[in-house]
Amino acid sequence: MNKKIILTLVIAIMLSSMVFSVSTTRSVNESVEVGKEITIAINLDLEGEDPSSVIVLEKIPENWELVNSNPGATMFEGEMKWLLFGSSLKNQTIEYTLKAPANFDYVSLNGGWKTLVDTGSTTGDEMILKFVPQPETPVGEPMDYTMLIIGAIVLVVIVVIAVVVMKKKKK
Amino acid sequence: MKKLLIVMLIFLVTISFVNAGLTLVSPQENQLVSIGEELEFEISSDPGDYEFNIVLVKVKCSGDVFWTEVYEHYTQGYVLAFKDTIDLEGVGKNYCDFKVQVVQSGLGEYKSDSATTVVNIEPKDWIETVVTRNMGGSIYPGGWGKVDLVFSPGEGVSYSGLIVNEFLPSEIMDPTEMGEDPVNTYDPNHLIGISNGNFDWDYVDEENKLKFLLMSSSPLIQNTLYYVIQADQNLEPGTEIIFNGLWDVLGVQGEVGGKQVIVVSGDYVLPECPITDQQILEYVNKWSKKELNIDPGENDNIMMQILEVWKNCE
Repeated sequence: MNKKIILTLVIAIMLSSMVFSVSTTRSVNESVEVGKEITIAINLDLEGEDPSSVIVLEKIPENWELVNSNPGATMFEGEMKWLLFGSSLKNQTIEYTLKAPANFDYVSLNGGWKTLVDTGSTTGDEMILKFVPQPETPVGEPMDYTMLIIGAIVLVVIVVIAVVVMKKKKK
Repeated sequence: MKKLLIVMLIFLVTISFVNAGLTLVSPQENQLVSIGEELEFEISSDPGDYEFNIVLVKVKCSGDVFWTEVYEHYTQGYVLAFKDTIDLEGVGKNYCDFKVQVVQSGLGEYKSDSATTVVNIEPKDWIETVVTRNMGGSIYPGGWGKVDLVFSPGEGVSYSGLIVNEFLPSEIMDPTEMGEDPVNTYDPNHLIGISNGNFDWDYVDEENKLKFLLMSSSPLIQNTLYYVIQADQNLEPGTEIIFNGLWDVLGVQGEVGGKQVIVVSGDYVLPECPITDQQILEYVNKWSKKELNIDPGENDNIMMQILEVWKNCE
């Protein structure tokens, strides 16, 4: 039998028996305060035999500052890239920390991966929203419920009076 | 007392912050869109007490790594229904994911929601059934490349089957030959494949051709078949590698259009085995500085080609 036909059959058998995929999934808290740091995790999942290399990419949002990343990223004009090959190419979680700017409402995260012959985008969480902290109660000072209690009593008295007045009127 | 309760209930409902459930009314899944025409999109959401909303539209087509933001609109109050058009000029590359996101703010809180569908973006003024070949303009001696065969069923017609015969140039190793090297068979699904759905393929030795068969119980939509090639190591720079192909649907035949020629590049010579770890580190160092090639756009591609050679050495 011709060599190419045999090879074709081999690949066809492999096609049916082997599924290969690269995927990246992002996890991040939904919100962060302005000026605070937030850590983003990218989970790289390889199934089947590994390609020779994978490049994972993430865009750094405008006006946001990269604080650190693990493993270390290579910077390319607003993009972080992790070149993974050899022993570094394995299922793993890549983490990086960003510092939010002084003013923002939301930011979209954008990233993906490349192999020699394929590309894909990162799924999962893709947006960080502004967290607006609620006014804090001063620490150590017990909250003063006096006005609240007085208000509630007044309200109850008014309601009772109203009900009594309405009943009398009906009579 | 009853009235008092009703008033309190209305008050509670009014102040409660309800997260909007976002629905994408249009475009519908697999809707055809022509480049140059405006695409209408419409969303609906549950009411909520919002001070403002930002409506974002993003598109990501096959082969893209990043989402491209094509539309941003700021509205006051809550979005119950929102309708607008966007211009997709410059975006279209056949099979595209289409996403609408709404960021909302009310009572000091921020919330977001999104809805996604898939649209088929067709070439401008496209009417007739075509199969178009897309590939890079150049390939390095010994390097790898990807050939896309994009199928677009004509306007107003529907087919349930497609055959594409791709006659392979003698200067390349096709995916069936690459199967000889166990390292290169790491990913047969990515050496020959399809962007969406299932297909069959065969190699016909007598004619040195790859035969693709695409069938569906429902009418075929735009789709992309692809295969990976490797250029011969000994090719001279400037050599033109010419591709030919024929497609066939029920009663209609034609030649595969689009790109027909890949030129063997002299810009870069891929290293040959053996490649030491030290050399790999030097290549990585050059990659990190975008110094692998005079064309910085080729930086990632060359690095991955070198790593493919390096892995095959072992």
